[in-house]
Formats: sequence, structure tokens, C-alpha cells
Amino acid sequence: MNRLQKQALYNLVMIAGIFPFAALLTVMSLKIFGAALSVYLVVRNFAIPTFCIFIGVTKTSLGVFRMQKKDKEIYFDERDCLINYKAVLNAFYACYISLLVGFIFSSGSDENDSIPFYVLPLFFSSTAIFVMLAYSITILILYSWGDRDGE
Amino acid sequence: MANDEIKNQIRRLRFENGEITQQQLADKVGVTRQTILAIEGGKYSPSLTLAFKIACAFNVKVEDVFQYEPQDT
Repeated sequence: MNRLQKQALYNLVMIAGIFPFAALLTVMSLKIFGAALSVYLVVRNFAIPTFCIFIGVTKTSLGVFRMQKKDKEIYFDERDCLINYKAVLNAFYACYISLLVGFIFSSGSDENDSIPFYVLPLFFSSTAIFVMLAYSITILILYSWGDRDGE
Repeated sequence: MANDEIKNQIRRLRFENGEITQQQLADKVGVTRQTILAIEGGKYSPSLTLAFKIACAFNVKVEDVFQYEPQDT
């Protein structure tokens, strides 16, 4: 596996690990605080700081391993560049579709025909997850993960 | 990305040139071993530059490494 594949796999594992925990936390918060306040509280007080700390710690630890690689070895060539380009393109589509669907479903849910304020953090966090998923899955598919390239 | 119409002789040429490994060829032409593996397996068609580099690495012409075979329609 090369660096892009490892990063994609790491993203998928991270999403798979965090998602059930975040869902449980949101449900608990909904029962305790109610809809509007709970989303706001969870996102502001817990989700964003935890996410930042988690990303910081894991990325730093991965960075230490990266530095141990040999200098002469080539890590990124034209094929990697092409795959990365396609993955970024798919991530952009995922971002566009996610925001579009989010706005369509959330508009009009309020009495004043407006989007509730607590929906916005959910918009951006879900979009970020979709973007990460699209990017990672595209990379793993294009490298034919589990096939001959899977090593 | 993969193109079944372009065949290559990289595997044969590697063994005819002192049985060099995929990693050694990759280092010579400046790509990763995975890319050489993908080209050999017909899963990736290299750029013109890379095709010339591979041909140079074996001291042969490009057409001796890559052959275009039109499919019957």
C-alpha cells in the first residue's frame, strides 16, 4: 500500500469508528436537552474539540512513521497523480450533492420557511464526512484494493 | 484507466535483461513499483514520456515494448 491508500483506509476506519459514537452521543443529548440545544451543545462543546484533538494526535503519530522512510524511494508518480485527481473530483461532486440535498430537505422545515440555525453545523459536518468518504472510496477502488495492486 | 488494446512486453524484457525486478525497473524510470505492476498487468496505460523511459531502460524502441492491437468490431 502506498501513502494515498493508507490515508484513504485511515479515513474510512476513522469514520467507521467515530460515527456510531457520535450517533449515540447525539441521541443521548436529544433526550436530555431537546433538539435545537442538543445539536448546538454537542457540536460546540464536544464534537469539534474531540475531532480536532483526535485528528491532531493521529496525524502527528503517522507523520513520525512517514519520516522514517527511505529518501531515494519514489512515493508519487503520474498514476498516483491521476488517481488523486479523480478522487478529488469525486469528492467535489459529493460535496455539491450533499449540500444540495441538505438544503432541499431542510428548507421549509421551519414555520417561517427558513433553515433552523442548529441545522448548519450538521450540514457542514455531514458534508465533510461525505467528502472524505467519496475521496477515500474512490482511491481504494481505483487502486483496485484487494486485487493485484493491493499487495 | 485500463486499456485492453495495448499489450506490453515488459515482463519478457525484464527477464531478458538480467531478470531485473519490478522495483529496479521502477527506480530506473522514476515511478513506483505499483505502477510498473499495473502497466505489466494491462491495468494502466502509461503516458508517452513514461513509455519512452521504459523503452530506454531496456534499450529498445517503444513499439518493441508496447503494441496496439485494435479490437475486432
